Amino acid sequence: MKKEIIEKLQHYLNRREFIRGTSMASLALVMGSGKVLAQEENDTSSLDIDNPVNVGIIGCGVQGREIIANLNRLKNANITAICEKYPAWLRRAGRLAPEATKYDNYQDLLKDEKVDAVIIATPTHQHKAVALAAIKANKHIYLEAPISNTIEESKEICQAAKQNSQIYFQAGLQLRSEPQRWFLVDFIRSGALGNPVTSRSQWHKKTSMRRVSPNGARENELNWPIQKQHSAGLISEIGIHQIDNAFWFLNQQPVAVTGFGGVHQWKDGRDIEDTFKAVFEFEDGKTYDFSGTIGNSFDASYDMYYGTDCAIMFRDDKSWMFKETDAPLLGWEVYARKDVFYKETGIYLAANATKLTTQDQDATSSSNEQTALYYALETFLTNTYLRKSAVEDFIDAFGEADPESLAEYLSDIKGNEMPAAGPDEGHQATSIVIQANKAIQQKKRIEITTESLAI
Amino acid sequence: MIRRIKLYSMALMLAIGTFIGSYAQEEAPKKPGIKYKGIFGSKLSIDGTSTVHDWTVTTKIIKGTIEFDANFPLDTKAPLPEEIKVQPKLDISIPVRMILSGKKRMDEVMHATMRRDQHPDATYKLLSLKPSKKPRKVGTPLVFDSVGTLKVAGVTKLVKFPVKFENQKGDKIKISGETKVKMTDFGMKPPAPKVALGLIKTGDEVVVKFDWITRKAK
Repeated sequence: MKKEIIEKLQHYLNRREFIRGTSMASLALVMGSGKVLAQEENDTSSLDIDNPVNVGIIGCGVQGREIIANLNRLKNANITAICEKYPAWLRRAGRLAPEATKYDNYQDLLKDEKVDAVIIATPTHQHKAVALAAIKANKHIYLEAPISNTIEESKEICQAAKQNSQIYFQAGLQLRSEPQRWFLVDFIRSGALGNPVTSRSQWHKKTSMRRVSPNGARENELNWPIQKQHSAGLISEIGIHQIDNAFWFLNQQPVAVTGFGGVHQWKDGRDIEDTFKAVFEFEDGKTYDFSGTIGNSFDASYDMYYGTDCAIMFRDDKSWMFKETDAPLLGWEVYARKDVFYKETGIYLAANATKLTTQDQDATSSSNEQTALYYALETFLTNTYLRKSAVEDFIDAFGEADPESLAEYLSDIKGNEMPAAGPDEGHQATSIVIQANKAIQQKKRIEITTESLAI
Repeated sequence: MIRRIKLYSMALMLAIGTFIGSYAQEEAPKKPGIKYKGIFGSKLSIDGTSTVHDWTVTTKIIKGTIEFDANFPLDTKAPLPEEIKVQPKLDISIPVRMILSGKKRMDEVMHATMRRDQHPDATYKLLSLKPSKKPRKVGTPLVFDSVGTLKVAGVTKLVKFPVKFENQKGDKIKISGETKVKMTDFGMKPPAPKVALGLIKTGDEVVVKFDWITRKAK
């Protein structure tokens, strides 16, 4: 196994790459998998082609406006409509998307025939009504994660989305679309860690998460993430991205979770734990644990994967490998950029690790040109255009009389989609964090059944 | 008297009308054409080369119809005649955006090369079919030498290649063929995208292969 990994890595990043300078594109090239034309850098803007999608945004709070700001930088996004019931937020969103039609209720937006796709960024407990109506209206959907705060609702939404093959559904697990993660998922799955012994993630940030408003009712509405009635806890609202990422990288789902937690800092009457831990068990007895707090900011958020050959650390959109002294020499790491973390030296782990230009960068400089949300939305637009075109062109060529063939064709073209979390992944991640939250609240061990993860 | 003239003239007009009508009827084909429509299950691929590796793009969306004269030789058990007296009408169009490689950036480059924005469809129109002179065993697919026009990226060119007609169950005919075309013939510059290691040059010549499944229209 080790030999294979070494060969693979040497193949990935060799001295020639170092001399000539490498990038994600050239890495794909030396991988020799026939992907070269697909992954070359932009050669000339004249070769760019428009695949426009008319998008409606439902929910224009902080996240909704962040989405609009990202869409404004994506050439294929036509922000056609925005929807928000709170007038001040609708006005603010309107300033970011002046051409968009404004709606104060989602039903009217869904009736807008100009809208091809919707991005749902409402509070989680409102997802079900909006998402089911959007599926019924045949709109392509990007639904923020978690899908819901109950397993039943999550299943219902994801089932409905999966059954309507004419719409493209993407769960807002944005790390699944980040190029750097896609580079590393193969690296980890190929056995780079040696024998993976354990893994953990943390999300630490000192913040009350409480929002204020002069209007009491409005303030109550704004604070849904810290209300047990409306939220499946911070492990769900915040932890879902890192937790989903871990199980994706490790290519396995947990069979049990044990939780601990309490309100240790923000004793303002809230009933959601501000500090918590969840230990997930896999079938082979190994564990992954997640630590979250809004009482301390030290070391912020990161993920660690520990194996007998090395440890891999993810921090923001970057990663490093910390080798064991008895681990095999890979070769390329001699030329790779290195960053010092107290007494440890991390080998910068990226497609451009050996590139000359990266040698001058420090540990805090970004690997990606864009944020994970940007990549997730870009993926959503690309895949939506593909699905929309496929349905239109199929019906134009063969008519509507054969829905089975249409479904078969749509299944065929999925291989052309960019990587993202679909209904299956969305439900799995949601179900896992909901069960973890239950374990935290009850301070006990809960078995995670395969039925609870399936839709 | 005036009324009688009016009646005569009406009768005359009716007679002329009837004569023209019957003449027109005689000019129409004696037997209606048999129309086949493209159905799902068809496939077209384009195989190309580059300085790095070979590549293939495909589509399953082939829109079109073929209309045969009632006397068109479709029976594979019978020998083909020397010539086709009434040529079939065949029109095909393929949406360029659904010609895909599985790789986003390659699709973008390919679609841009094919000037998809201005010319969203590639089209083919059959001009003539001539039974192939090559010996054929009875029962094997019928082979014709075809001449037609292919329009890609807004440029129309005459193309000639052999096509096979094969009867299939359920009133279906599979029409297959293969031909080589040059991108430059259609005013397309073979893509030479830049990558970190330099340029990748795409070969000018590509091979187009298709299996077009058609079913008798009801």
